[in-house]
Amino acid sequence: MMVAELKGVSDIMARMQLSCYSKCIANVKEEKLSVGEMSCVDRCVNKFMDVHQKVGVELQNSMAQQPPAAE
Amino acid sequence: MSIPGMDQLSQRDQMQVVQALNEMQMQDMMNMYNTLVERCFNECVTSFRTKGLEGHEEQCVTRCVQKFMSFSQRVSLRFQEKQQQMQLQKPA
Repeated sequence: MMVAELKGVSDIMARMQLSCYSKCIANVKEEKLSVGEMSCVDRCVNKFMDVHQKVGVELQNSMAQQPPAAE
Repeated sequence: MSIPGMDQLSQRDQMQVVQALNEMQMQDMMNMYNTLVERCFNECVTSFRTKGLEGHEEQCVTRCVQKFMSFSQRVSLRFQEKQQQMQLQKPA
């Protein structure tokens, strides 16, 4: 169970890196992160985690509201 | 890295978790490496008039890798901070 959790965390990290890179890093003309890129990354991580949390909550809510499907 | 809940596991289970973790880290490294290659290639190699990498393409790849490493470190840092923050916000 713990291994599954660890895998989940590593999966989040990978997806977050992918998303935030494409949203925040426009090009590699400079090898250093610019100030704008740095704040973008910070906000991106924060928002990604907030979305992660919110999706969890919404899923729980929608599953609780739906009555079990009648066969 | 301390994993919450580890001390509740038996010695043997702990070893299994550590093994799985090592395997995951290796896979993560491989994935990151391959992703990086693809990304830097797409970004930096724009023409094929020479067989080998041109000077500016080589420099671009160097910058690409360095930039990604800085980026990756920053993401990890913020992620850990956010996780700690979310832990504190959880109702007891």
